[in-house]
Amino acid sequence: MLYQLLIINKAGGLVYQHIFPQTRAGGTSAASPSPNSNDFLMLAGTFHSIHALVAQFSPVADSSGLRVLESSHFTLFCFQAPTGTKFLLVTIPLSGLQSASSVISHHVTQTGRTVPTSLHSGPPNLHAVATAAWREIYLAYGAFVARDPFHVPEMPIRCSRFDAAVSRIGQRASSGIY
Amino acid sequence: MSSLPGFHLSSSSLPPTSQNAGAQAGSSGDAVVATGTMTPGQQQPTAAAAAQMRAATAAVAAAAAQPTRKNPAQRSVRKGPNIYGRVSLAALAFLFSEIVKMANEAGGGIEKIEQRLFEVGYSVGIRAVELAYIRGSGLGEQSTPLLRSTTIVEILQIIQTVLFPMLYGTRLGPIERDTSRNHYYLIDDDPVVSQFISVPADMKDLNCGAYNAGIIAGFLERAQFPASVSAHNHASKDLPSRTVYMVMFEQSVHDRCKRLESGGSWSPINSPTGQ
Repeated sequence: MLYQLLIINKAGGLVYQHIFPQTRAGGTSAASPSPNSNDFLMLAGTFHSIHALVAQFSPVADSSGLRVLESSHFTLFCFQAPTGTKFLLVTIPLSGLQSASSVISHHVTQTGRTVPTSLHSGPPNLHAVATAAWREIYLAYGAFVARDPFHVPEMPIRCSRFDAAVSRIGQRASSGIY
Repeated sequence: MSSLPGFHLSSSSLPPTSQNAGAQAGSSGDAVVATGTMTPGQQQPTAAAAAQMRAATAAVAAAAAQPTRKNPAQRSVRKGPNIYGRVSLAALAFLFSEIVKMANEAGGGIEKIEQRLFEVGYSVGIRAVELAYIRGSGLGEQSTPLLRSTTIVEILQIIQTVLFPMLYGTRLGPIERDTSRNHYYLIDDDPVVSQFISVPADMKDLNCGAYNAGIIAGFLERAQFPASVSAHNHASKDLPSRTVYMVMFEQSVHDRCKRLESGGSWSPINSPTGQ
């Protein structure tokens, strides 16, 4: 259900990465050619710029930037906290059998009323599930990161309790609770 | 004795009269303003303005109708946490987080940090004794007063069943005793103060329960049971932040207990440990 959680601080640096364990029929993990952590740092910075660019492209004022990135193999949801911290949630694709070309779809209004039509063709309520999971993650972030005296704001997150909470959320998401 | 009359005078003249008078003047002043603009003399009230006025006076009335918050000094200390109001866990967590941050940034090793947390807790503990006995007496309907604890077991049970519920809303775990060394262990399965704290790997011996150890030490000191208290990690698989507070009473406490058992009288201990 959930593949990965990435947290990008407001300067565009990757501060947290959690890869949810995947199990598939046959016992092998869904191993993708995994980039190393340095690559992820670069990707996070690139995403940060693209997010800002998308907001610039928007024909409507006050665009909140990229919200959903959809591909044949995964869907990427981007949730932004009021502080500018971005939570990227990589999940299963909306529809696994779509054409291989990636489609970037995004909301142009802040309210996000214009939902791309492709969102309705996938598994039911993927958007709702991802949003619910993100809410839980954000609560855990507020509890275990913001209140941790050893965490420095905008710096990489090394909080064991947050790790544990995110793992629990991943398990619950894969068991279909959300 | 000479200071008593002065204290009495100031206490009787200050809180109730001046506070109430101020509050009444404030509310009646509002009312005068509201009705004053309603009088026909200076008016040209359009319908909208009149409606606004009515809304404003209604708001004033509503504010007046609300039960006025008592001066905290006038509230009963007997009332339990349900009536007295509770502090939110988030507020406590943020405050304690800042305390730990301060203790950490002041430098020094883990022992130094724990020592600082201990001192903060100590100042809480010595103030908690009177309140704990009053609150503990107020529990239950018939409110039998708690008497002064004279034995080690009694005072530890007060900590377990009165002090910690008063501070954190939960009882402390079981009390254990190492008879060979006369150590007592208070077990805290999940200390409230460290619920949101992830101690980094490079200082994993740090236990923020040192703050609670300080509270216990201050409490015991003020209750005439001087002891040295320390917090130790005692994690298990299910309870990663389980903490044990080790209590070592001074020899004078043990001596007094023995004397009491053999029919002697209780006496305060003027402890040399002026921490």
